Amino acid sequence: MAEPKAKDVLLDPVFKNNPIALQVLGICSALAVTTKLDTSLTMCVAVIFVVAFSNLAVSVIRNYIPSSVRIIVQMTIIASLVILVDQVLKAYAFDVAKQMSVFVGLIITNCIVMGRAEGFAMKNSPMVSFLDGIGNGLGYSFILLTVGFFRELFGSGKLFGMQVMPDSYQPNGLMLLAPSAFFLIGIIIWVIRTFRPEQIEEA
Amino acid sequence: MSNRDSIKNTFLVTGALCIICSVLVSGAAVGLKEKQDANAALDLKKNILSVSGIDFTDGDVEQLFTENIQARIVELTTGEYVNQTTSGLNLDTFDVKKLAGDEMTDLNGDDPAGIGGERENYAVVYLFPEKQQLILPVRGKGLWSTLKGFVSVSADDFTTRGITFYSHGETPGLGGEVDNPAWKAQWSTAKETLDANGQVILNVTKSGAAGPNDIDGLAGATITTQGVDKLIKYWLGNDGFGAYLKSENKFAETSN
Repeated sequence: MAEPKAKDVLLDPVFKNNPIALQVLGICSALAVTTKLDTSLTMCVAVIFVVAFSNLAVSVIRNYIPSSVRIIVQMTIIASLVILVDQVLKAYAFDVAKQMSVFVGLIITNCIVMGRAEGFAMKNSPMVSFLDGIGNGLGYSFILLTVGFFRELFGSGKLFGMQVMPDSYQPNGLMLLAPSAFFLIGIIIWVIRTFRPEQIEEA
Repeated sequence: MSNRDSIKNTFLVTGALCIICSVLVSGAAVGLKEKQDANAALDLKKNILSVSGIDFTDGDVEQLFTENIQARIVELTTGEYVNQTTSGLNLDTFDVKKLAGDEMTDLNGDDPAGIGGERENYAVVYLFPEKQQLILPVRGKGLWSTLKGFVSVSADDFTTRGITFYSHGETPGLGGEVDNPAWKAQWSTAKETLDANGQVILNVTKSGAAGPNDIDGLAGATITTQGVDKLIKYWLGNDGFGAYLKSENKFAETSN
């Protein structure tokens, strides 16, 4: 298999092969943490960190991992990185970490992380895997921040906690509930597939 | 890599990985502990301020706390304040988790609120003299986790002034709604807690709050609601802060 190009690996997952929009992975956390932009952003940074370094670590030892226990080995690496992120957040971003409650820990079960470790890092060299992790993290972040932007703007009339809508604006409570994230993700997928018809699946 | 699937290699790789990962995780936990503890202490103060109804969004939490709130150690059985110079208990070092032996009371299986089978004999309560409020630490079992928080009551008639939970692991969106400001607001509307005999009459109900002693429970979170109901009944009752609530001169200056 030819080694993929660094630029493609980094940028493809943002639009062309977006983990949420095309592969529809990691939806759970995309619903849960996107009521506000600051929690969305923290989640994005955390996921980019975890995917990038779990990809790197898995790729470095890919030739030593016994295939019988490879999923457990990947899981151990991912879980350790997630605990690391959780500890750092509790130390340096306590209030945001508190709002995100269990969802930091649930990065472990985010299918993107596991999917990239198993699907990409097991077959590719460390540097490319690392970039692939960042790329997929960015693709995830793109969706999360877009959803977070619209939910906070219309749900609370704020962006990053700052009032931006005029006082006369009546916040739309539905935007703060999980279903609105489904609508938004659906619309994003629709928009992306309108511009990239090759993503449309055969019915 | 012909031997990579051998039993020897499997044990070698998993063993080495476990050691590396545990060093990483424990290193982070130990290294960041101080900072996390400071955050937790600050968060506790924020919770106490918010349950007292003090707005700290634009102010300095530490300063507001020192200006408005006083802490005391209470002996739960007698309801009296502990003399810090003679008892060996001291606010600076007091830690409920470190109480042991005769500082704890074994509940002998009678643990309606699910506080862990033992009740401490001493607790730190907070006073807000300006509004004559008592801020009492409470805890009890919800669905998944132990809810830990504070309930604030008026010192005159023991009606509620607020509630807050600083630590819990209930389901976000369901039991986790104990953090919802709209739900907590019910507690700041002076709900009756005790009848003339000192029995706890406050109910956290499922069927909608009707009386002056009813709090509307959380929709979709029956067990959490029941947990809050039980922990309030326990801690405000005679097994909890009952004796303290009946004691006199709560706001007197202490000699220590």
